[in-house]
Formats: sequence, C-alpha cells, structure tokens
Amino acid sequence: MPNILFKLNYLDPGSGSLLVQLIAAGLVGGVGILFKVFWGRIVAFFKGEKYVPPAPESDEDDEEEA
Amino acid sequence: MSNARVSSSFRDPSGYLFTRNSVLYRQVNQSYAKAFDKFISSGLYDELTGRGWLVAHKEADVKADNPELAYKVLQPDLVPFISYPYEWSFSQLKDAALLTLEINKLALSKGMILKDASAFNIQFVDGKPLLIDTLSFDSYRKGSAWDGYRQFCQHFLAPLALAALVDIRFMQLSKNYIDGIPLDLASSLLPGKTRFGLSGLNVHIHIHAKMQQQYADKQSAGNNAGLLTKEALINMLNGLIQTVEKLTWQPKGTEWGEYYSATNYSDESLKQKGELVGSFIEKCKPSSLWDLGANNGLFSREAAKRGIFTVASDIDHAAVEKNYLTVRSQGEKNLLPLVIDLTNPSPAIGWANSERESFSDRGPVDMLLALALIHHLAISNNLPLESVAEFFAASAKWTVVEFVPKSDSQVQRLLATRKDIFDHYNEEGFEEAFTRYFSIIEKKPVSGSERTLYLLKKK
Repeated sequence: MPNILFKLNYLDPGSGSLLVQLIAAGLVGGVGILFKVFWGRIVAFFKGEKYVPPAPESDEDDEEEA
Repeated sequence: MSNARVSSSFRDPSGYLFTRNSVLYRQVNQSYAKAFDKFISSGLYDELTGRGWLVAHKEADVKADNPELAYKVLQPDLVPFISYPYEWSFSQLKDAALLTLEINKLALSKGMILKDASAFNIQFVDGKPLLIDTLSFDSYRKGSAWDGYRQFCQHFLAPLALAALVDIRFMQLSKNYIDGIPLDLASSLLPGKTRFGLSGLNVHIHIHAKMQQQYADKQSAGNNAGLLTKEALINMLNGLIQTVEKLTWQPKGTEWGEYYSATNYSDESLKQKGELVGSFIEKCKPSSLWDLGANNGLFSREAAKRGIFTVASDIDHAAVEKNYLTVRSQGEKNLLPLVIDLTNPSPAIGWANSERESFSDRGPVDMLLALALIHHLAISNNLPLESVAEFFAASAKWTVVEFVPKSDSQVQRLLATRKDIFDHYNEEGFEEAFTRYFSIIEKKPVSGSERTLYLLKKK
C-alpha cells in the first residue's frame, strides 16, 4: 500500500523537532528512547554499516486505538 | 460565475478556500478524502463543533472550483472579522494556544491528530477562540510524533514566553516572521534562567532550537518510526499545556490602561458621552463598526450591546488585554478587542503581500468611532487633519469624531514638552479639513468638558 499518510504531511516537521518530542514526552521515557535510537546508531557504527531506522509498528491507520 | 481562490489558502494540498459570488467555500481534495471521512465518522467533527472549538460547515451542493481534484465542497460558517496573532492581546494568544493543544488531545482520543498548529488557523468569535481550518486533521499513525509541534512552538510558545518574560512588545514580532518566531532567536532573547528548571521552556525552546540546528540537514527517520507511544504524546501535550498556563502577563505602569480613572471626565460626562454615541449609532444603524483608539472598550459596547459587530482597537496592550478579559468573563458578544497602532496599522504580509491582509483592506465598515483620538494623531503624530479625514472617509460611511481642543488638559499634556506648531488645530480648522470628505450631520458638546462630538457622513 502506498504510504499516503506521508504524502499528506505538508509541513516539514523537522528532524530536530521530532527528537525533542521524545525528550519532552518524559525524561525517563526520553532517556530510554534516546538510548534506543542511538544504540542502533552505535551498533551500526561498529559494524561499519549504514544506520537504518527501525520500521514503524504500523503504516495503517491506528483504528484499534481510536 | 466568478471564482477566486483565497490568497492565503495554498499551503495544504488537502484543499483550499475559494469564493464564488461572494460566498466562501472550501474545496476538499480527493487526496484528503480518507482523512476527511474519518474526521466525520469518528465523531470528532461533531464533538469539536458541539464544544464551539471548530467552525461549523455544511456540505454545499455546488460545482467544485477544481472538479478534477475535488472530493467535496463545504460552506463554512463565516467569521465576522479575520484578525492575526500580532493583533491579539497576551491572553488572546494564550487562549488560542491552549485551544490548539486541547483540540489535539481530543483528536488523539478519536484516532486523529492535528497536522499543523498555525496561529492563523485560530480566530475569535464572541470572545472565544475558534479553529477555522476544517482540514487540519490527519489519521493518527501509531508511534508518530506531532508534525505541528515545531509550528506550535514558533507560533505560540515563543511569542508568549518572550512577551511574558522579556517584553510585551514581542507580541508584534510575528509580523516579521509569518511562520512564527524562529526558535534560535527566541532562545537567545529569553532570560538565562529559562534554560533550567521545570517550566518546559528549556526543552521546548532552548533544546529545541539546538536540535534544529544540529539536525537541520539530516533526514528524519520517517516521523520517528514508531518510537513515541500515544500516552507519551499525550504526556507531552499535557506538559505543553502546563508550560503555556504558567506564562502570565500582568500589565503595570501602563500608559492608558487606567485612562478612564485618569481623565478629566466625570462619571456624569462619561455617561452623557455614552448616550450621545449610542444615539448616533441608532441613527445610522450600522451593521459593522470599528472603534479606533477604543481603550478598554467602554464606548465600543454602545455598538456591541445593540448587536452590531465591533472591532475595538487600541495601541495599548494593557487596555486591549483588559477589554478581552472583560469580554471573556462576561461572555459578551459582537466585540473583538485588537492591538492596532493606528499610526502604523498591520501591513499586508506574506507571499506577494497577499497572504495576510492589511488592517485597512479588511474594511471598509459602516461606521467608525474616533473618540479622544484626534489629538493623538494630529499632535503626537503630526498628521495633517486632512489626512485623518481622508483615511476615515476611506474606512467608513459614517464617522463619529470627538474633537479635543488645545485648551483641553490632555492636549496641553501632549504639548507640554514640544513646540506648538499646530496653528490649524482648532474647531474651525477641523471642520474645514473634514468637510472636504464629510457632511456634518450633528455636532454636540460633551458636557463637563470643552470637547465636541461630531456625527459625520461621507460625501
């Protein structure tokens, strides 16, 4: 399925702004999440690979949570 | 049929506003069909309009402006006057910010999310903020962050923080930055103490500005690729609400905020002046009115209470703030207080100078009130009386002007520190200048003062 949701994002959310939200969402959670983000980068660095961000949990509308 | 796309309506590909035969419509594009259907079927639209948070619309059975792209055409309820964030008082911007966050939380509870956070999407109707962009919602995608977060910080948080913690005049700064105050600028202007502590400004402004610089040219990982849970996102919105709520502004040492207790008007004269203004309004029966130099809106209410939509503008933040707080607490209708410097009113800004209209382009109206204003324009600002008359005539059919003679103590105060170069500033000179554009319909002395009220009709 084409990723129509991304096409609808007409604002550039800004990479920095997205990361700040992780911090703002809660310091404890934020540290955990940042660790999660950067652990992937650290591992990739030592393996000499290009870092590939984890795939989203779901590309579909999140109907269950609605 | 004459169609015209509304010039500010181009950023979002979900749809746009257009006018046809003076009726405002909103085209919803097919690319937005899925999100729009969910917006309606989830009950979000009903909930938002039921709470008075979103402008209501009806589906219009008319041809679309661009049928190839169109999914639906909506006809939104009209807002009586479009105002801009740089014309709002502190509490107006704060209320607009809080509404944006509350709407986003409500949207999340229905499986949707605000896709932007533009302060221009909020308008004031009967003293309450209202979202006017029906197409601001997208389906919430599990794990995603808020795309509108940066815009929220730039449009709302940065100016509010600067106004509250540095100087209220920073409210005007967004006139220069149509997409909100750049966060690095806000960060460098805010007091150092905001870098620490729990106000939230450290994260939302300072760290945010740093992260923007650091990640300016780096690709985003597909909106965080599912790292942020919905609970965490709601936590963040609650944190932002707290941050905004903590920002306050208390007018002190204001120029005109205490004007009515500091004038040479007695209660009796104020009452008589109000009755005179009221009788002029009843005579002309305007449907819209601008009260220029309205202070806290004492005389604007002569129109508003008669059901006439009234903009009460003043240069003084404190007076406009007081006026708005009164409108809000009393639930008053038909009255919109705005901060406007009449000697330098809001210009037309944005792309091709046509995104946001100038103040005068949002007229003309049926009637103007210019009470205790003429001496400020003619003496403090050296404006020739003919120029004042010309501007008033271009703005309205009817004008009520209070002429304040040189002998008045308020004019004496203005002249105390400067040379009197205003030979023509007298009743004769006033009438000569104004009768070039107006006929004098009535002329009444204001009791207990040396001032005169004129009811003028444009020639």
